[in-house]
Amino acid sequence: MNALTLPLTNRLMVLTAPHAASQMMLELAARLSLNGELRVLDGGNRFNVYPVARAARRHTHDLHAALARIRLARAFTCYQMLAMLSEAPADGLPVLVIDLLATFYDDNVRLEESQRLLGQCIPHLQRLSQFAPVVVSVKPPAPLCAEKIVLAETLQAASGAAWQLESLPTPKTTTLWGEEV
Amino acid sequence: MGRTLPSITQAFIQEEEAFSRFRRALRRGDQIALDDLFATARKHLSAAAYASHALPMETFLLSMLLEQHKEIMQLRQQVADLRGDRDA
Repeated sequence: MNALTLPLTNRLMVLTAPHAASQMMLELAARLSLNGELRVLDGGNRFNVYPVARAARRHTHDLHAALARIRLARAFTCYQMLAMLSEAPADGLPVLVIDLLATFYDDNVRLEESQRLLGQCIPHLQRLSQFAPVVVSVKPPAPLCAEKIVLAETLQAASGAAWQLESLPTPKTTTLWGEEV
Repeated sequence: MGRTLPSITQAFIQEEEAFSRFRRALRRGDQIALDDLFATARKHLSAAAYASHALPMETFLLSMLLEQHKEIMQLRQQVADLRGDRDA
């Protein structure tokens, strides 16, 4: 995880975490927007601009310029995600893909179809990663579609670096009268 | 498709929750004053939504100031009226 520091290197990095590490990805988007343009592809409707603005504001007074450097696109189906990746030009802009597999975990999409589409997405991710850093975040599948964990594993296997983050238990505050829940 | 941005009410609730630990550390009287401040900001949520500021908390703070200033203006007017009555 320590390898995910700025500046990022040109490779495909995959983060697997609960909630697709969205907070971390938004913070990363804010940090990257300070230095130049970047492309954010959102597969799980997780890009909330308010935390990004707050994070960017901590580093710059020119908030609107920083936000304007973020090129955002959202996919609401796995077909749209594939289309977005295939149409993304390899122009050297860093690419953040937030919650890539969210739409692939859809109950209405069979596992074989998800695997086929992901198989087409991966070469595009690798193509983009030759010219710029590509950071992809995914979450583990819900228990109802647990068999789709193979999608995350396939993506991790195709990546240049992969991290698996686990949620920590909520820290307890110790007071004079014991522990607060 | 769903919402791509939280509504201003959701943003307001999130901001209010972000200060919950601060609120807990305050004295009871101060907690009431803080709740009052947030209640005044809530009055201007529709204007805050229209403003669609990237940092909504700034709009909420300005709403609090606005209500405070209205109250100051009213009190000034009352003081001026009382002085006028006394001098008359």
